[in-house]
Amino acid sequence: MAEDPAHRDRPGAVMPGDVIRYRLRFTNPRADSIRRVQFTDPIPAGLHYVAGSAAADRDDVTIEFSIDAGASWSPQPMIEEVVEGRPVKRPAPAAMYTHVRWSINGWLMPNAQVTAELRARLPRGATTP
Amino acid sequence: MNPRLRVIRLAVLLGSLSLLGGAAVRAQTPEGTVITNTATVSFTDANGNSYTPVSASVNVTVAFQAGIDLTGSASVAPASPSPADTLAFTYQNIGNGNDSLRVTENISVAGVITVTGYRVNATTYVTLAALNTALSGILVAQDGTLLIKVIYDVAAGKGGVATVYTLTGFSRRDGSATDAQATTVTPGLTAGVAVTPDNGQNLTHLPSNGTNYTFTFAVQNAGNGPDDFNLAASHPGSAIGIVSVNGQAGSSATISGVAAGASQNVDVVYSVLDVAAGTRDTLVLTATSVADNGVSNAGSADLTVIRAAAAITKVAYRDDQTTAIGAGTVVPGEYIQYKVTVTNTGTAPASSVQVTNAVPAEVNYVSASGDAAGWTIGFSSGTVTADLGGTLATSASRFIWIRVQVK
Repeated sequence: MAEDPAHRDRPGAVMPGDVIRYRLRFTNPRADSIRRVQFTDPIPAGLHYVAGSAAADRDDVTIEFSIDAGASWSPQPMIEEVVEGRPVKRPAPAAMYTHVRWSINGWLMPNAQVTAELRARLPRGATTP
Repeated sequence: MNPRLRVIRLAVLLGSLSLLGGAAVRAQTPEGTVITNTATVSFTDANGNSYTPVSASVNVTVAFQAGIDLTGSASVAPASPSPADTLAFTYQNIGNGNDSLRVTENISVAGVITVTGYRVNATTYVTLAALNTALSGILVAQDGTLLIKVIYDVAAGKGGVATVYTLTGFSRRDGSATDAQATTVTPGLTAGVAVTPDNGQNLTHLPSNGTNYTFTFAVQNAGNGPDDFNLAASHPGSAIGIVSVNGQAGSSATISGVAAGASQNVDVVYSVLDVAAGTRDTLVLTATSVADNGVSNAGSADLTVIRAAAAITKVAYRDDQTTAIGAGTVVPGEYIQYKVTVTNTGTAPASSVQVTNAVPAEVNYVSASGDAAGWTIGFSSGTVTADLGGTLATSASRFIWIRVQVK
């Protein structure tokens, strides 16, 4: 299927199949350093997180994911399946991710910035609530 | 379509989000849907004091994406001929917004079907242009469907002749979005064949003696579509030998591509064996449909073997050629007229008829003559030889006079 150029070029418009890159930037507004800076970004309904796309511009960042609306977090969420009558755990597919969380482990100086980003896809056969 | 990458920057502010765990599958995210992403950041100061988290939101809007799915039967088998048959096509809008349809059509083999109209909802449109005009005013919602029926007639004599009708749909909002559905239309074939004639010819033939005979049958395709036919010549009796069928040596052959209703002449070459006059036999040609081996028909020609036969009589007359001597006597010096008569007693004309007559030693040959023109008569070594030119018809008689003198 082709795109409708009129819509395609419209700012802020996306089409099924498109990948959206969300970039989150936080600036420390305080006069002193802060710590335990933590971004939390729910994956918008109808979008699928793109595996491996979460990143940050610092090295001291721990990235975790939730598949239960933020109730639990893990760098690699697991799901349990029953195979031949026995429960088997395997990595959850990225499309199941509901939230992404970036935790900065060090200090953020006054007026300093930290940037995190992720990518999400608008599926051709999208899921919506 | 190549996925696009959109960079969305969130400034960061506050907000709490709650996402639902369940999800329902939809074909496409609808055009115009606003997708909101809200991110939150939290932090503490050097003394571990927490502050109100801040969040930022950004919206993106889902644009229109065309999608067409045309479905229909892969194949149909209407009768031939038949009027007002229909092909049903279902258009589903699998794009993510309202759209309308434009269609084109293609028929792979001409002459099999004729499209007479198009029906949408309860209205029939006579031409494709009229249909498209109507379609331009029918907005189909996302995931919605529209039934299009193509009305067509099947021509006569097209049984088994396949044609492919292809309907291609285009999005009116995005002309490059398209889908096609092809339906193979193969009218049902009812095979039929008639071979004529069917006896009654009363053919009469001499034994071949190297000369073959030819009989021509007519093989007519009595089915409703083109067909091929296997031909087999046979005979129930003992007088016939099959030489060739339709130019092919042996007793079988195949004719191909005989149109419905068409007739093709088939020559059967045969010989008549050296059997007795009056022997009867029947030349049979059987044609079997290749499309339906259960359909066949036979034509036949009956014949009788004929042969020539000759009988000869000889009567002695006085010299006046009128008074039969019979049991009477003759005297030396008297002339005798012998009348030698040959009769064709067979069932076929005789040719090369020759009469030979040895003159008795007690008489002297004087002369010989025929009853009419046609005889060539000679005398040599005491024997009269008379050759009859032309043929001697069945039951016909000819004679010669031989005049001798008693020694």
